[in-house]
Amino acid sequence: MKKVVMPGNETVAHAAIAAGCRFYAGYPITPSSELAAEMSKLLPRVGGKFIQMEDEIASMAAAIGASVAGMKSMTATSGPGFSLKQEHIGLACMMEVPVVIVNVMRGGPSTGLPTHPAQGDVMQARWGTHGDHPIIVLAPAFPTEIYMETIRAFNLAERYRNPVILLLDEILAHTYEVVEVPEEDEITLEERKLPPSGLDRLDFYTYERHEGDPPLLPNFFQGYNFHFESLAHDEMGFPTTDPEKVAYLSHLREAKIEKHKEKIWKNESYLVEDAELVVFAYGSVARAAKEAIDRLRAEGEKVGLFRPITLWPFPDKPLKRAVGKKKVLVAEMNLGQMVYEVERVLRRDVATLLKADGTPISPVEFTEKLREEL
Amino acid sequence: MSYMDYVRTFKLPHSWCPGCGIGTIMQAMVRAFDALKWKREDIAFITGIGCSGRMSTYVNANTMHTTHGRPLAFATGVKLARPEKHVVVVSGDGDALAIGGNHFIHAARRNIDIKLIIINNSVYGMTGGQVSPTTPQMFRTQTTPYGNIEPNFDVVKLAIAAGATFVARESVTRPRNLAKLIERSFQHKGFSVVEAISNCHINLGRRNKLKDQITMLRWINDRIIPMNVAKRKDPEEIKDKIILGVFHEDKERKEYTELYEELIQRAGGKK
Amino acid sequence: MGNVIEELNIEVRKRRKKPYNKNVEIIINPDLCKSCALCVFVCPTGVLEMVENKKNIYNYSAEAVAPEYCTLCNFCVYQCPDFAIEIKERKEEK
Repeated sequence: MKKVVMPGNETVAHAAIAAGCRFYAGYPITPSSELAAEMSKLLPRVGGKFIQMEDEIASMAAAIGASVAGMKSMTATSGPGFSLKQEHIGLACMMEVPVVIVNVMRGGPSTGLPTHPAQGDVMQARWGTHGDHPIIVLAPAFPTEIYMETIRAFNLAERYRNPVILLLDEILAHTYEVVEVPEEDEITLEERKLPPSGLDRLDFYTYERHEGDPPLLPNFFQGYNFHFESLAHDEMGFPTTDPEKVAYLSHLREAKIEKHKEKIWKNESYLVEDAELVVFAYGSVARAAKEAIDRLRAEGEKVGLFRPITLWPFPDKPLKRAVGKKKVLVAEMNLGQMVYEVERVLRRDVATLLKADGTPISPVEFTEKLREEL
Repeated sequence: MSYMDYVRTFKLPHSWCPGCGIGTIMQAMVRAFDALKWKREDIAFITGIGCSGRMSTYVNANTMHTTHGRPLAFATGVKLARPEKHVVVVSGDGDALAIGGNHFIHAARRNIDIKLIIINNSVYGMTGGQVSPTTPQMFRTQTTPYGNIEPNFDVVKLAIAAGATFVARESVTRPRNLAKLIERSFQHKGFSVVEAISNCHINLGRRNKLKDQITMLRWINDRIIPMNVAKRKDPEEIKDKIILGVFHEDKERKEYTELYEELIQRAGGKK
Repeated sequence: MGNVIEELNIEVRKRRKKPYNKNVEIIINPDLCKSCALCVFVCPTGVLEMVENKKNIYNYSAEAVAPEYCTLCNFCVYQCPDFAIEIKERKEEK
């Protein structure tokens, strides 16, 4: 392991290369542009391909195209670009194509606050694209965690053959911090499973696929002349409107994430065992919460933190286990989004500390609010 | 091998209307595959949304049916990832020139080695006959009930101005010439555009006194003129004609993925 | 489409000038042919006509009524949007 000082945007780029990413298509947008710049520097050195496309829609398309052609690929953007990419994120879900999308959240909506942090895209990350679809969304908070979660994003994308969204915000993207970069042999990488060559069949969306498995799809040019279809399709990938086939494949797409939720979940519970009040926070907000919790604990106040790192699929069981009947306060840099999930899961109202003015929630704001709630 | 080996015959009959030019153009294209002896496993065939978009179901290669207007962007990812492979895109006039216009001009600007065939039937057929960027003036469509006022693109000029290094136009009524032209565009190293004038009698024709395929193909035949014949006519006489032939061919300009390989060398990257 | 077909049939019969007498077999696959008449339209020597055919959902279909005029130019094969025509030249049995 070696320590490197770098901002989140560069951390993601270096981690992506380490994860085996060899294709990046992007478009400049504050506050994620540095990620593209870093990839444009790193990829050619490892024989990888970088392209700045004409817009975010094209970037998402090119990344998917490269993935279908067999490469681990990534794109990065921020709010406005994230909105533009939604149709193609849905296509990647429908075709079951691995791809990693980084969204560095900034003040929204619209052009909003390009250089200010926010967490207002968390519901869009889940439901941004139209129609029912499986999705995995990760929200790291700490520098080394950003590195490791980037690698995990690629591994999950390859394992489940699905788009994976990595959420940062402007603070995490731009703040220079110490990243503990693991050695090559300290990380395990996953590759998509491919069907053996020479089979006399094309039904790869169901071939050897038990409920909960990803499909064993060939890459382009592997010799199967396979069809990747954005329409609802049958087991061979050809368009169909047969309700049974439509429902069956849709179910398989959902099941491959639903069935492995436990393995995809990743949370941090901090001092919750004896806590009277548990803060639910994620991303950079959780770091201020932790500071406040430490300060209050020093004064004997019993406060804890539940921090989801996997936002979607939502960690319902872990949240219930960590929180039980304790009082909960949800803190977000938006006007309340994940709070609805928390209340749905806990079946009760919770306190909130919501802030959407482009400035982070500070430890002092936290301590004041927590004292009120205790 | 025959051109039929590039067709997923188990998916025929296809879903295009009787007399639609798309099937004829598809045949011209697979004949070009066969003439060049391209291995199916080395071809990526990518389409957008619209009637032409359904062709990716019927071509026996690595195929992808992407989103409306975006096949060139997907194809750019495939080509950059695997530059040694053949990447072919078929797109309609709406798909390539309206919603896909931005990707069309940028793919041309890059001169990336993607073979584009635009099936130009001057209407949105799949969605029931709306106006497109190439619908003739004063034509009636579902969205121009009082006559089309939308000015048109000249696809050839647009492609050349944007940077495409092989630009040609042919008509579905001359399928043999079209097949040869597509073959020639496939052999070109760089972004090639073949505009294939086609007929949509069901949507465009029906609302403009061209209600069946025979009548519409006659109408197309009356409007087209081969380049060598047009050269001998005075401009006034051919100002409303659609000129067919190769308009632009630049063999010098470097192709995008070639430039990228050089970039990798400059970066000291191992291939 | 009806009168267009009649007019077309009348017109193509005028194209039959000189029999070529190639020994050809013109095969139109009924499962693929959509009776669009483009083959009839493009055949330079009037080999094909649209004929009444109750079994066909369009109640007519293309048929090589005058094969002796076929010059094996393949225009019909190229124009057919449905991959429905195949032309075979039967070798002369000497």
